[in-house]
Amino acid sequence: MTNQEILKSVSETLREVLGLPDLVVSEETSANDVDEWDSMTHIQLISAIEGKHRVRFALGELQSLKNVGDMVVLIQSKISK
Amino acid sequence: MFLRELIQTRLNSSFKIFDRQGNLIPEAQIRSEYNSIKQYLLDFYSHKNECVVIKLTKDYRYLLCMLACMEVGIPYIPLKQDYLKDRLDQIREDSSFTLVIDDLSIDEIINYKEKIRKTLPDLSPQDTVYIIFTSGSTGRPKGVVIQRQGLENFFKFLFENFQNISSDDNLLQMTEFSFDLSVLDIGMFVVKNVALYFSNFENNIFKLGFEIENKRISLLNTVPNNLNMFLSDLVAERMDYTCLRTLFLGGARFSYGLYEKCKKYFTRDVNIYNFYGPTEATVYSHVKHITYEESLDCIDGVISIGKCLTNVKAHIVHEGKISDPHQKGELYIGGVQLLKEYINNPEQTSRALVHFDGELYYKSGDLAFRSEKNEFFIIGRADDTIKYRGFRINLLDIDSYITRLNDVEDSVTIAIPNEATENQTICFLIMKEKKSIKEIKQEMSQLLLDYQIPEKIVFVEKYPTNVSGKVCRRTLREQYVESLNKALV
Repeated sequence: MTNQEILKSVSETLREVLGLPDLVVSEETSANDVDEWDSMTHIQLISAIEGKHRVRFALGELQSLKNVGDMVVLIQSKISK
Repeated sequence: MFLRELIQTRLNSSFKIFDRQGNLIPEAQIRSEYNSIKQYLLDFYSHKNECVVIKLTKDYRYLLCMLACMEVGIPYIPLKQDYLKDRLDQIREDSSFTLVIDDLSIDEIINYKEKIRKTLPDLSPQDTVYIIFTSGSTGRPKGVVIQRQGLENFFKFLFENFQNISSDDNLLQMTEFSFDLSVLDIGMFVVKNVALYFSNFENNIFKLGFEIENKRISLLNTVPNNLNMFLSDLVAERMDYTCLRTLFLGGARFSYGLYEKCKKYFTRDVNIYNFYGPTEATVYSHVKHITYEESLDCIDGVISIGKCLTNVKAHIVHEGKISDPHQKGELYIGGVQLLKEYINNPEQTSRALVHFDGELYYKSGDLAFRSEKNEFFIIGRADDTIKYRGFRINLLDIDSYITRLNDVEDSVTIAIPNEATENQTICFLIMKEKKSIKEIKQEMSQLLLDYQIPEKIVFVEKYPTNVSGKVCRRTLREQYVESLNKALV
């Protein structure tokens, strides 16, 4: 899976979890840019991504995620193993 | 005088403060910066009624500014660093503050060199120590004026209790200083000399978990909603909680659902305290040390807020008389921690403070009852009591029953005016396990009277919260009404 494909998949999940079908997502998008993306939504998002990509993140990995791009890189590192 | 001595003693002895980047700030640097702030304030000071706005980024310098104001005797108004300008203008009209300490001016202040050494001014116990601005029901900020005697009493209570907390404890400072829940953090530093770690979790619950593990945090002071997220399965299963020794919860309702989670994830080694109190009673008026024994901690799914702090008084008042045990009424709070006034608002002050039983009491607006052992229990806001089909029902009372259902994680019930039944009741449920509306209503009927069962059930994943992490019922109501309007278009 390429990073572009992962970004597309994460974007879809983000739109579903946030309930914002028209949200434009890029690698730079972060919780600061979207009002609806709060702590609880973030937990749901991580849960949905873990389920979809069959991966599991550690607390240390999750705490350092700053934007969607970081998430894409982290998923790629997990599925490439 | 007690407050001054406490602060001087703390800063003249050994302590540990870590900034939000995790750096240990050398004691000598803290003392030097603190003395500059103190001298700046002393030179600035000319009259007791002057006050200072502090709107810095939440970090150790914010704490130093507050402590310096307390020691010098200048009332301060703590605000968030990004507090809106038009709101600040409203606060200026009410409080006539003459100095704003912000991220721009602080550098100059910490490098300030004294001009003339001034002595600390004389103070009285009734002098103002701080003014907390709350949102206010009209949208205009409402300034609660707190007296030195109230804060001193609160700190004395902390000093004389919580013997298990010491300088070996690490406290993660999470709460904005504009929210008076944070005064407990300040108290723990000043009175118990806990090591202070300024959090940088930025509403990222995983980052918070990481900070707790990484910094070996033993003492956490937060709103129940934050703990609830923290104990969600996804976070809980990858966290190591073994460093936590004490949890202070306050600022919002401690639900039965959260109580059950605490029993699931923590052992009795973790001391949990359920604090209660309006800002008007100087941070907190009551506290309950949770025993993990349901019969001692709750009645009918309502978690105890325990007994009054020393020198705080409380009564449950129903139709002008003190209620008997288990009889519901409004909670009145009196004693030394009462606010002085709402700033520049005598009408509101006289509405909130009433003479009762020969003394002054604050009408909390909270519906409550007490047990035979004189422990207090909050059912909800007196305003949350509504008329429904001719019956008086309390929405938070209903929620406390619903959260006792096995598969319900949390419940928030709201009412919307309706011609047929006076109000329509809508219950927003967060479920542990999926259930149909029919099943859940069937379960509710085992605990609630028929008119108490909400008309409409809506399953949600979360509730809207305000900046303090409290569930925002008004937003929930607005969102629901908006969704109805959209559906009608």
